[in-house]
Order: sequence, then C-alpha cells, then structure tokens
Amino acid sequence: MRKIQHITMFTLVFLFFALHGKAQTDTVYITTSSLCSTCKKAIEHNLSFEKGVKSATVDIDTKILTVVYDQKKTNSEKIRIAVTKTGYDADSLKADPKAFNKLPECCKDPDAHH
Amino acid sequence: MFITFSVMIPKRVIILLSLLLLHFFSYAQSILKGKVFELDENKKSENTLPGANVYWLESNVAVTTNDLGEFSIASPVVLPAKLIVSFVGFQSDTITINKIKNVTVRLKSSLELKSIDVTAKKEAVGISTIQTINVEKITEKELLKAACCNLSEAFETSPTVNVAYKDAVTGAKEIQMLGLAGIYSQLLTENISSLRGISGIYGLAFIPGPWMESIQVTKGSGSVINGYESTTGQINIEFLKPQSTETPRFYLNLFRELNGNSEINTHYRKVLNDKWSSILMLHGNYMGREMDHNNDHFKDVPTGNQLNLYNRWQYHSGEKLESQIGLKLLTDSREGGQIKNSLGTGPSGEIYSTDVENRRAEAFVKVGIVYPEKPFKSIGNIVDVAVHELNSNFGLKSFDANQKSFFAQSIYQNTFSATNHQYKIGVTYRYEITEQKYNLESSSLIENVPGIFAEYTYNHHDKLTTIAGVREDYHNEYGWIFTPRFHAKYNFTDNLLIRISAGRSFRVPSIYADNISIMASSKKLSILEDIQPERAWNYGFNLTYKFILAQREASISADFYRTDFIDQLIVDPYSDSSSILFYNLNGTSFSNSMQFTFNYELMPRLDVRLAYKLDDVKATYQGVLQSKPFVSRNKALVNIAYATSNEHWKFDYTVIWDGQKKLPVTTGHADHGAAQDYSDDFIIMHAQVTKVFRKVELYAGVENLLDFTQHQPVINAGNPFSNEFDASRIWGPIDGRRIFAGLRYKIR
Repeated sequence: MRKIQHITMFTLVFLFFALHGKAQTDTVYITTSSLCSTCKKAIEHNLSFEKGVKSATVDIDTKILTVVYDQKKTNSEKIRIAVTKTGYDADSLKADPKAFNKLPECCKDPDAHH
Repeated sequence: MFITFSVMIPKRVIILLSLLLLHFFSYAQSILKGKVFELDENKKSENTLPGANVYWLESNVAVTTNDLGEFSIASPVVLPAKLIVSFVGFQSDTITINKIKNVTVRLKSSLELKSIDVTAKKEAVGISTIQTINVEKITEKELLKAACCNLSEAFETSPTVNVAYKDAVTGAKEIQMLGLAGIYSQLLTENISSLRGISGIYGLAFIPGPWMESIQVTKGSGSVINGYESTTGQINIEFLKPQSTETPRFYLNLFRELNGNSEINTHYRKVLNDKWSSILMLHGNYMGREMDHNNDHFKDVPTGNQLNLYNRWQYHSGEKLESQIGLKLLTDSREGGQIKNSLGTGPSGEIYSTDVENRRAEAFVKVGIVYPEKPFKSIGNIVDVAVHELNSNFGLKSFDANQKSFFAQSIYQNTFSATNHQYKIGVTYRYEITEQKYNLESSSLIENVPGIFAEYTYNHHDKLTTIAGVREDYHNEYGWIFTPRFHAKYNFTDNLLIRISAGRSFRVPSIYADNISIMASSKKLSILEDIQPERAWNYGFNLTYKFILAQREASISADFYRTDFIDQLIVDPYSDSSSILFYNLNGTSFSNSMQFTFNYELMPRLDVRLAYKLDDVKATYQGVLQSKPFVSRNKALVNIAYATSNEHWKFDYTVIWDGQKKLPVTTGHADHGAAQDYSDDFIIMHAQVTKVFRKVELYAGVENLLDFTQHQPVINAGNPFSNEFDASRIWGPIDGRRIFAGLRYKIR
C-alpha cells in the first residue's frame, strides 16, 4: 500500500506543475541575425531567463524570434536589448560586439555557416 | 543549416488549422514544394541533389527529389510538422515547417561511417516509423534522465534493455535483451564491435554517460555489416562529435552521491581550422567509503577508481575525403568483499576480498570517400586496434586475461539504376589473441576471421521496404560461418506499420569471461566436455501505431521476438549444488519475448510511458527443460517526465516492477539466505529534478527511492572461505537508496 501512496503522491506533484496558471501576455516578433540551430538554441535559452519572458522561439527559416511576455514585467524594447546582449542583431539594433565575438563560428559568418 | 523561402500561402494555413480538429488521422492534399541542394562551403556553384529522400517525421509520407532536385510532398494537417531531408553520404536535416511555402534545403556532406541513424529529436526515446529495422533511439534528453554514471544506467527508462547486478562484490552490471544475457547482444561503439570477450565483461562501466551523444538499440537481428555475433540485438553508442556545434566547447560535470561515490567529467572541443576539429574527453570517478547497510561485513558497493580518456579528431577536406582518428585510454580498479575490520577467516587469517583491475588502450582510424557528383556512392574504411588487460581475484580464486585485437572493415555503397535499389558490399578482417589464466590453468585462443558481406535494400513506393543481407566468414578454428539476415517493413497506413526480421547468429563462448560472477562463490566450475560455438536463429515482428489522442501525440508499439538456439553453451546451476556445470546444449533452448509500450503526451510537456514485458526463457538442463536463472518472467515500467514551458525545471520519475526469478540451487543453509527457489518480485523507483540556469544546470535525485534491497545477498557471509559461501545469487539491488546531486557547466 505504501508503494501505491508514493505513486499517487508523485503523480500529483507532476499534475500541479503541469497546471500552472497564465498571466496577462503580449507577443513581439523580432528579426534576428540567427543563422543556425546553435544560434536558435542560444537565443531561446538566454531569452528564457529574461524577466517577464514566457516563451521565446526562433524560426531558423525566417530568422524571426517570437516572444510571449508579461506586459507588466517587461516590454519589447527590453527584449530587443536582451537579444543584442546575446550577440545577435534585433531588428535595427546591432549586436553587442563583446557578446558577438564569443559566439560559435557558425553564428558569426553569414557566408560560412552550415 | 540554411533555409530560405520565396512564396507564402498564409490563407491555406488558416484553413488547415480549422480542419485540425476534424481530421486527426487524415492528410489534406496541401502540397509543400521545395528544392534540395548540396551545401557548398565556397558558394561557387549550387549543385542540386536528385534522389534525396524527403519525408515527414510523424508520418510515412515520403518522396524523392527529381532530376532537378525538386520535390513536392503532401503536407500533414497538423502544423508545425518536422520535415526530414536525407541522402546517402549527407547529413540529414530536420526542418520545422510552420507554413506551407517553398523551401530550399542545403545538405552537408557527411562521412560518418554509420549505416543506422534516426533523425527524430523530439521524443526522448524515438520509436521510428521510418526505419525498416526496429531501432529505438535513446537521445541526449533521455540520457540526462539517468544522471549517473555510465552506460549501464542509461537504460533505466527503457523497457527494451534490462540491467541487473552480476554479483554482490564487483558492482558489475549486466544487460539483458529479450530475456537473454548481455553476451547475446552486440555492443558497438560507433559501429565498431570493440567491447567484446575480455573487455566486454565490465564494458558497460567503461562508457561514461556524458560522452554519449545517443544510443541506438536494435531489437532482434542486426545488420550483417556488424558481423555474425548479434543474436538478440545491437546497442550502438554514438559519442560527441568534434565537428558538431551542438557539442559544447567546454563542458564540466561534477557528481556526488551521498554514499561517497564522486565523479568528474570534462570535455574540451576545438575547431582548429576549416578542415580539422578535435575533442578531448576525460572521466574520473572515485569511491573511497566502505558502505555496509545490511551489516553482513560485505561492502554494498566496491571501493575503487577509474580514469578514462578519449581524444578524437575529425578531418573534412571539403571535397572527397573525410577522416576520423580516435584514441581511448582506460584504467579501472574495484575492490570488493569484506570490509577492513572483519574477522579474517581465510587459510592465513585473511579477509575475503575481490580485486578487479582493467587496463585498456584503443585507437581507430576511419577514412571515407564521397563522390560529390554521385552522392549515393561512398566508400568507408575502418581500422581499429585495441589492447585490454584484466587482473582479478575473488578470495582464493584468480583470473587474469589479456586480449589484443585488430579489426579492419571496408564498405562500398551505391545504388543500382534507381535510388530505391541500394546496396552495400564489404570485407572485414578480425585478428584477436586472448590469453587467460584461471587459477593455475592457462589457455589461449587465436581468432583469425576474414569475412565478406553484401546487403541489398529495396524500397517499393515507400510502402514496403526490404533489406536482405548475407555474410560469409572463415574462422580459423570453426571453419565457414554463413550468416543470412532479413528485415522488412510494410506500411498499412501512414501511421500503422509492421516490421519483421529474421536472422542467424554465431558466437564463440568464453567459459570464464562470460561467467565471471560465478567466481564470487564457493562453487566449482566443472567443464564436462569440449565446448562448441553457439548458433541461434532469431525472428520476430513489431507493430507500431502512431495516432493523435485528444490533440496530442500517442504511440503504441507491440512486439514479439523468438530466439532458438541450435548450439549453446549451457551453464547449469541446477544439477549440482556444489558446482556449476558447463556442457553443450542437448535439446531445446529458447527465449520468447513479448513487449507492449504506450507513449503519450498527457498534457503539454508531460510525457508518459507505460510498458509491459513478458520473457519466457527456457533451456534443457541435463534433459529437463527449465527456466533460465535470474530472468524475471514479467516486468513493467512507468516513466513520467515533465518540463516547464521555459524548460528551466525538469522532472523525471520512473517506477519499475520486476517479477519473480528462478534461482540456482545452493549448498548454503536456509538460515543464511538460501531458502528461496524463486526471488521475490519488487518495485524500484527513481526520481530526479533538474534546474537550468543561464550557464549552469543543477540536478539532484534519488535512485531506489523505496530503499528496497535483497535480503541477505551474500549467502554465508560470515564464513566466505567455506563451501556454503555464495555472493553470485543476486536478483535485486544490494546498495539501497542512493541520493545524488550534480552540476553541469557548458560553454557553447
């Protein structure tokens, strides 16, 4: 019986996390200088740690980053700056040179990526 | 990878989305068009790729590109969907299609000398509907669920491969596939069968978890390309690649268990120039504390340490030539048996101890040639050299061995007139010297085996795919070995398919190396006759059905495999209580294995896996057909994985139920743990939490949460030099609950 109790308890913990509530959100689309799947991962990973960001997805095809964010906690300009600090252009804003230099080779050169 | 687009058709997408709820199983006739090119580093020209395969990951709609490299493929109703573009001699590319628009795909030439690969990335354990052979791919995502330590833990969440302790002293684990011991499945490292024989005994512990990129588990007969040995399946490990930008440039992993076991893993990757890249991987572990939870004066976990190094280089000429060079070095030492302050009962008043030392060096070179004008054509060559030394003693028994192996292989692949008729032909050569000494008795074996093979793949309108392979080897001791293998896949619909396989296998058994755990007992080894090589047939089928249940992906897989031994080395633990008898099979020996697996995304990012397995494994022991020892007839597994939407938190939980197992007879007294003929059934639970930060990941977890242990694992532990001692009658966990924590630091 103890075993069954354990199973039930863990299932409930999982359900709790799965049923998290949702906040008041807005969406912004940003054209980035992302080039490959490594860039995509880097942008998505870093943006997910920005305050108020609910989700961040890069489409490698179009280089468009879609960010869903909490209006109360951040705005589209802050999000663009966060992208440049990761080393990528965000619309008209240029990438932070220091961060750009640290990028893997394939994310730097638009002519030599694969 | 680089993808561009030119035309957008957004309205169609809206219509498609509105149809989504109505058509879970059907496909609308919306057409996705595109063109496939060869990725040219210099951008001088754009070569199109005719004959490339284009298919959807989640369905079996597949097309090939025309003479101009163009394709048009019916799009699935549910978007986004993953489109895979693959071509022999090129790295496959997976593209997420969000909208129906023209796509351009550039494939990068590849000379990875692998013949089996699945591109599925989404699921942690991908049950493919694309491949003809029943291959389960364990990706990095799944590997992280078992935070510790090496290959033997990587199968914790997989129902296909079971892992069990070999004995109560060495800490060694053994895998079982289809209810049969690990020796009947083939362990490959990037398609090289290097951990076999002497090096295979503790082989699972020599592959650190963080080194692995993925594992492919083939159930049933494998491809003839990898040799005549695999009876029940193949396990192929892919290591991290120096050229891949997915591999971190720097990686550090620190791991610590509450019981004192510590590990460190680190790798450093460098792209030297546009041709050369390299990675250096290091693993070290140390266990210094003597743990004895059950107070039997035997260590629950052996003390010891391991140092493991792997340096590999990749060369890419940008034209025809690609190459890989690798060097591996290993030293491992394990001390088990009685704890230091035990009462010495040996002949000279010593305590019972076991000492196992492994030292190994391996080097390989792979050279591949591709033909840019004929991308389906390629030549692959492998040369692998390994030296392995094992020194061990178990109380008063000792076993020393060393193995020197040389292996070479050449594969040529091409197509007949059209790309749906592919073939591979090749030659292999293996030369291996094994010297062993059990107590005072020395023996040596030289295996000198040249072989040829051919494999033909026919694809009929992507409905039916068949692979027929044969190989013929000449063994210096046992003569000609003929190995036929056959695989077929038939798609009833896009999401319902059947796979069948049949094949023969051959294996030269090694009495000591295959059964080293028996040395951890007072039983004598009695070899009754001249031992002959083992031959077996394996056949089976797999049914896979993928569907959408309440808008989420689900899959059901059912399979049945049978293994029939024609010749087998019978290890008889039943007929004589004071010795293990070795003799050739006289009668039948078989394994029937049935498995059902259900995978479902119950809620967003909450994946559930349920599996049940039945293994009926019997052999003829002195004229009586009996179940094999240590095989549970019934097993079940539940795995639940959850990640938050930002992937900052990950949770994983596994429950395994292991049924009763038949146990060997023993001279041990009932009071000392020898009362049972069958083991108890038991439940094991594992749970783990990972927290992802910007640069660092922290994880903590617990294995064997319920703290279940086998009662009295060591029979007559108080008198290990007596005739009643037995530490090899192990059917369950010995070391109880294990709590661990660790961190991973990555620079990409």
